[in-house]
Amino acid sequence: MRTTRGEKVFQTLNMALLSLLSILFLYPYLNQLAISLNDGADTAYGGITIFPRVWTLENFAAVFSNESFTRALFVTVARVVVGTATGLVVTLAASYALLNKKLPGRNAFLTLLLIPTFIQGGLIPTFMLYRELHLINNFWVYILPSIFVFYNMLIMRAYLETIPASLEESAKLDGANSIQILFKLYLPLSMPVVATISLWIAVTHWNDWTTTLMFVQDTRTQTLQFMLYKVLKESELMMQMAVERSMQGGESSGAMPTITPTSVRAATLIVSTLPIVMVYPFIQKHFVKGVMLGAIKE
Amino acid sequence: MFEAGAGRSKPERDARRRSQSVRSQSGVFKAVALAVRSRTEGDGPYRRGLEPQQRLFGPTTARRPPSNRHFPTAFNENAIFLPARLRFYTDTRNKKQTENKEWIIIQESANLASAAAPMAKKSGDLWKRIKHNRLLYVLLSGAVVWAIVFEYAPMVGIVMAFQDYDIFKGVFGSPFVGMKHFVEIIETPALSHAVVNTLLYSGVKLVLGFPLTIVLALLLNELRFMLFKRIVQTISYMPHFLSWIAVASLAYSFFELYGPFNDLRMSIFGSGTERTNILMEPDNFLGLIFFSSVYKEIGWSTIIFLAAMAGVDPQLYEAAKVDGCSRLKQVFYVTLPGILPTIMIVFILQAGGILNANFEQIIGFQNLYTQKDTEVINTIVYKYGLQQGKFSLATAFGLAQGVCSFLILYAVNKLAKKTSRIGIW
Repeated sequence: MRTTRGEKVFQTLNMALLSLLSILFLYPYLNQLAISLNDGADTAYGGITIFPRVWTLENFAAVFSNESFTRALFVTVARVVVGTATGLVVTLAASYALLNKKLPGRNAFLTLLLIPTFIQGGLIPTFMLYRELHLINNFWVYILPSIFVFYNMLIMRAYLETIPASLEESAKLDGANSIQILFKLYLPLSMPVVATISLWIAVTHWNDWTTTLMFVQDTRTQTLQFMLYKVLKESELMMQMAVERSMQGGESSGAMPTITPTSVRAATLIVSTLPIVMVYPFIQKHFVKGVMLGAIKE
Repeated sequence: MFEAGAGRSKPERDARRRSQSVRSQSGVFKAVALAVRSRTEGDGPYRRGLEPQQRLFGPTTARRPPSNRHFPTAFNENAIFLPARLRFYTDTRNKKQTENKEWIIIQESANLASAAAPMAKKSGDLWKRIKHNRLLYVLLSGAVVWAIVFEYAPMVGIVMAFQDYDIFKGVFGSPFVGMKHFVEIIETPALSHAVVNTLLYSGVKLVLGFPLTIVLALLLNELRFMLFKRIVQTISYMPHFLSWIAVASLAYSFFELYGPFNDLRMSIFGSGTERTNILMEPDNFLGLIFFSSVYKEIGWSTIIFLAAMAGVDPQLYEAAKVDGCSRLKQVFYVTLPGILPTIMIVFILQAGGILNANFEQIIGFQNLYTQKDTEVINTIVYKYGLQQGKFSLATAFGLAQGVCSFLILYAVNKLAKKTSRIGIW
C-alpha cells in the first residue's frame, strides 16, 4: 500500500497516543505492585514509581499471617471451584435438555428461565428470602443464587446445536440414555465452550464482593475481594483519624511503623488481583467471544 | 467420534455386535441399518395405521440429497436418508415426493424420542413422550428449581412495597398501606436527590463516555502494525478483569497524599504546591465516577465496535478512495455509517440502563466525606433496606426504579426504531 506523508505522520501520532494510553492503564497497577514490595515507612515519603526503593516482603508476610485474610483466600478458592463446577453442570444439563426441540413443554421452560433476565424481585425481597432459607452468613449464598445464568445457557446451547444430531441418534440406538449421552458424548465434544463458560463463571466468582457486603457478616465466610473493601474502608478510617489528630495539633507518637495501611492495602490488592492479571492475556479470547456472541444475539 | 458416547453396558455391546454385519457390507450405515431393523419390528408410528407414504415422508419432510455422501445425514432433526441399495420402501404413488429416487428418507426411527413427536396428538401420547423424556426433565430440573426459588420467589416479595412490612409477621401477615411508600419517595428530599445523582452519573457516562469509546475504536482500527495493536488491546482490557473494589483501591492509592498523582503535581507545579486528596471532595465525585468507568471499561467496550468495523466491506473503502475521499472522510462516510447499527444497539442498551448506577462503583468510591452527597438509587435501596431496616420504603424505591427502567428502555427503543429502523426487539 502506498503511504503518503500525512499517513505516516498520523500513524506515528496514533501509536504515540495509544502507547501513552497503555502506560496510563498499567501505571496505577504497577505502582501498587511496587508499593506492595516496598518498605511501608519508606513508601510514606512518596515518590514510589514502578520500582520499589527498599525491597521487602514484609507486607505480604503481614497479609498472609493475618488469619482472616488466609481464611478469605480459602473461602474464595473454594467458592471459585465449587461455584464453577456446579454452575457448569447445571448450565450444561439445562442446555442439553432444551436442545431437544420436541421436548414437551420446552418453550414454557425456556420462557420460565428467560423472564428473570428482565424482571427481578429486587434487593430487599431477595434478602428476606435468603433469611428464610438460612443463606445469610452461609457459604452457599455464594454458590446457589448464581448457579444458573441464562445467557451462558444460550451460548452453551448454540454450541451444542452444532454437534451433529446423528451422533446422538447412534448413541441412542446403542442403548445410551440421556445422561450417558450428555456426559460421554456431548461433554467431550463441547470442550471449547465448556472452557469458555467455566472461565466466565470462575472470574465472576473471584471478583464478586457485593454478595459478601449484603448477605455475609460472619468474618469466617468473607471473600478476598471483600477483604479489599474492608482494608480500603478501614484505612480510610485511619486516614480520617490521622487528619483529626493533626487538626487537634497532636503529634503522632513514636517511630513510623514499617507496615502502614497503604502498604497493607497494596499487598491485599496484589494478592486478590494478581492471579487474574497474570492469566487474562492468555484467556481473553474466551471473554471476547462472549461479547461477540452477545452482539450477534441482539 | 461416535464411540465417545458408547457405554460399556451389555445392551450396547449387543447393539454393536448386531450392527457389525451391516457395517461390513455397507460401510458406516450402522445407525441407519438399526433404524431399519427396528421399524421392521413394528415400533413407533407403524402401529398407528398410517399410509406407507405418510410413514416415510412425514408431512414436513423436505427433500434434499444428503450433503455427505458417506453417511445419510439426519435431516430436519429426525429424517434419515437411506441410499437406494438399502431401500426398504419406495413410494410409487406420488412422483413429486420422490424426485430423488436414489434415496429413501426415513422420518421416524423407533428408538428416538424426538422422532415420535410429530405423530403424537392425543394426550396419552403426550404423557408417553413426557415419560420417555423423563431423564431430560431430571437434567432440566436444576435450572428450573433455581429459577423458581431464587428468581420467582423474590418477585412475590414485591408486595412488601405496598405494605408496612414487619419482619416478624412476614409478607403474608403485614398490613397493606397502598401507595404510602411511593408518596414517601416523592416527598423525601434525600431520595429525589438520589434520582438526580443517578441520572447525572449515567447521563455523563452515556454522553461523554460513549463517543470516547468509538474514538478509541477508530484509532485502534487505523493501526497497521498488528502486534502493536494486539498489545495495546490486551493492556486496555486489563482493568475489565479487575473488580470495582480493586479499581477503587487503585484510585485511592493513586490519589493519596503521597501517591503518584500528588507527586506528579509537585513535579509540575513546584515543591511549594500543597498536597491534596481529591477523593475527599464531593465535587470531584462526578469526574471520578466518569474517569474510573472510562479506565475500567473503555478498552473492553471497543471490542464490539472493532468487530463491526471489521465487517465493513473493503470495496466501499476502495470506492471512496477512487472518489477522492481522504482517510478522515472515509471514517465519516464509510466506517461510521457501516457500524451505525452496532452503535445504535449499544446506545439503546446503555440508555435503557440510565437509572441503574453501578452499585459496586459508587459504594467503592464513596467515603466518609463524600457519601452524603453522592447517593444513587441503588445505594439508597441498600442503605435504607439493609442497614436502617426501612424494608418497605427500600422495596418501593427499587420497584419504582425497575418499572421506570423498563419504560425508558421501551421508549428509547421505540424512538430508535422510528428514526433509524434499528432496535433491540
